[in-house]
Amino acid sequence: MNAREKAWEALQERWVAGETLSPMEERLRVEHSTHHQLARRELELFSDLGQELAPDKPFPPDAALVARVLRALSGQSPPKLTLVTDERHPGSPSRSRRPLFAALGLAATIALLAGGIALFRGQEESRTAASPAASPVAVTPPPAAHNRSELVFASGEVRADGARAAVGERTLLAGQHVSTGEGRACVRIDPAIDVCLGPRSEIVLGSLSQADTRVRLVRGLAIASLSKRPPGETFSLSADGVVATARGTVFAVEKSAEPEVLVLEGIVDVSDRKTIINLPAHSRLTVRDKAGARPLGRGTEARLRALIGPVGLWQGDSLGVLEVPEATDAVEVSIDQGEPLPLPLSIFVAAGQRDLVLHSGSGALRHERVQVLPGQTHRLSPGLAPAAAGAAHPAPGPDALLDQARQALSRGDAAKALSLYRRLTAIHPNSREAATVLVTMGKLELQTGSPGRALQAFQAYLARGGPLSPEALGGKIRALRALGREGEERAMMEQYLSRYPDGFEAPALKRRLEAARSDP
Amino acid sequence: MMAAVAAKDERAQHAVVSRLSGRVRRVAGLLCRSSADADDAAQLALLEILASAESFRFATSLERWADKITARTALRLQRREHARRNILERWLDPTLLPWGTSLSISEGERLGLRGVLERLSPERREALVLRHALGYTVEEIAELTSTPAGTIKDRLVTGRRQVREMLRRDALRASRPGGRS
Repeated sequence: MNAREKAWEALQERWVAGETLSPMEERLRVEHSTHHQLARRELELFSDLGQELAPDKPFPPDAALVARVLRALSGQSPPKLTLVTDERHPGSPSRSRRPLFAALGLAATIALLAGGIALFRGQEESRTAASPAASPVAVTPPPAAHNRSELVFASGEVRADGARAAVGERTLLAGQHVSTGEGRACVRIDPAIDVCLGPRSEIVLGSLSQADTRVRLVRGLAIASLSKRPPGETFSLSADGVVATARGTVFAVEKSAEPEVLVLEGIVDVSDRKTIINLPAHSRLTVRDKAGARPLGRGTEARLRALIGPVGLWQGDSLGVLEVPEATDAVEVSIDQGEPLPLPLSIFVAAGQRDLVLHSGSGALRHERVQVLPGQTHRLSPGLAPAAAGAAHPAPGPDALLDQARQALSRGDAAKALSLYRRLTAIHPNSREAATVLVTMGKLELQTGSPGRALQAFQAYLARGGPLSPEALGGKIRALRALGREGEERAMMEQYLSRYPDGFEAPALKRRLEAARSDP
Repeated sequence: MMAAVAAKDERAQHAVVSRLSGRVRRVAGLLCRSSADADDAAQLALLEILASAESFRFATSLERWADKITARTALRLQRREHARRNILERWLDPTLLPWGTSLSISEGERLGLRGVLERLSPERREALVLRHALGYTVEEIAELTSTPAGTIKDRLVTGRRQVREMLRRDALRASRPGGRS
């Protein structure tokens, strides 16, 4: 094998293993095959494989398969399958148990609602008992013991007590639930507490009393931003018995297996009935985890800050409501050059001129300048085609964004792919895809000469953990090397080799580490 | 249309199954080693697609969404089949096994894509198909197969080397007097 063939072999292996080649390398890879028969056959074979499922390739219906599936659906005959599987198909135990689960779910919902009503009534009763109504000379009402609470931002799928919610409709009461599907929402509790929910999250307003305002996270992620409370007033966000209490800060609680408290600014008291820990800014804590507090990575912090990004839009006293409905041609909207928000959108904004950009699934669609008047609702509708009835979701799903990113990668457009990955992590921060793409994002950032951002992406993945941790750690090492942080690079190489001695990158790292040790 | 499928509208279900059946069968065929496995995987995948209609999102390509469900279903089925075959192969004569043992090439036949895929181990075949037919990144494949990304890269590289060796031998056979055997 001559040098040229060796070079081609190396390029072909990199390409097959999923690396994006530079235009020059790609040209060399293809050109070589014109002079070398075996290389040409290999390229033809991979081209055939790539064409097997090309998007524009027609696939005539498979009549026999259609008939089998429809028979199985209608229950006329059992599925052809002979294997015992746990797939969900008609007749399987999981399906037959659905009514039972539905009944249990309904019962649980009723119980929760009853609990919420009881809680509300209890508070009403205690307020009545505490009021001076018994006094025969009471002529002035008591000072408001409860803070006003209201939905101020609803983007995508947002519900209040199970019903689709929009802003400006009504205030919220203690015991009420606010939840999101593929969407985001913020609740404003006076004075100056904003609680924002990520996708697939739910909160219940526990107490709206001025002295002790409490919100409970039922699932997902909630982030609170509050100005400094006067002495004697506290705000807490809780989940599963873990309570995070603050008097002025920005912090979040995320509920997965164990509730985790993440502090961006200020200090938060975290307690679980047994212990109280003062958690400082830029740190995170899972109370029942013995490891204690850990630093909060910049990637995670940026993800959390993105959730409270819209808070600035409803500051001030002169507010109006802006509504952008679902549409067939637009899936997201940006306000005043902010991040794209899923439709439908309903939000309190400061009165005045607002610049909107409507986005389709693949990019900017059109610009609109609207005048929002104080106390009025501005509904953007002319020119926007109404959404098709029954459209499942307005926002581009993680699959759609991944698909577009893949297409951009196959065209060698790393910048576009990166931008789509960033949108995916912003719109669907809790999705499995958002975690998976962090490693690919890091690699692309490295390729495009941004090792600092690459480091952030790899660290964000490592903070979450997952099956790609060896890959993320390898990427972190390369990013540190590119940044010239040799000490940290060496420490990470040692960490990689101790954690993954048989890892894909272990041989190369061993060689590099030995070379570094022999070259003081 | 997927909203109607989610609402169990039979006409919509028929339309979606008809539209996707050919592609789903092709994806399953690429990932599964035997035609019978591919038939089973395609059937299961279509039922899963109908059952998951509620999770389909606006602005997503139906075909690409269905590809992912099919890939997951086929991979799961292959794992189970692999375990079953290991048990049977321990006790039975290979010639009695329904999936056969012959991978020879008949005279005059050119080693094509199907022949190459059939000769690869299931893991290497899956990696190459997911990367180069379905266009998934190494990280996505790692997540889909619950396998470290380094292992996926290794499978892609060793799979490709095996492909190259097959093509080299095929070219040698073709160049010998008397052609292929």
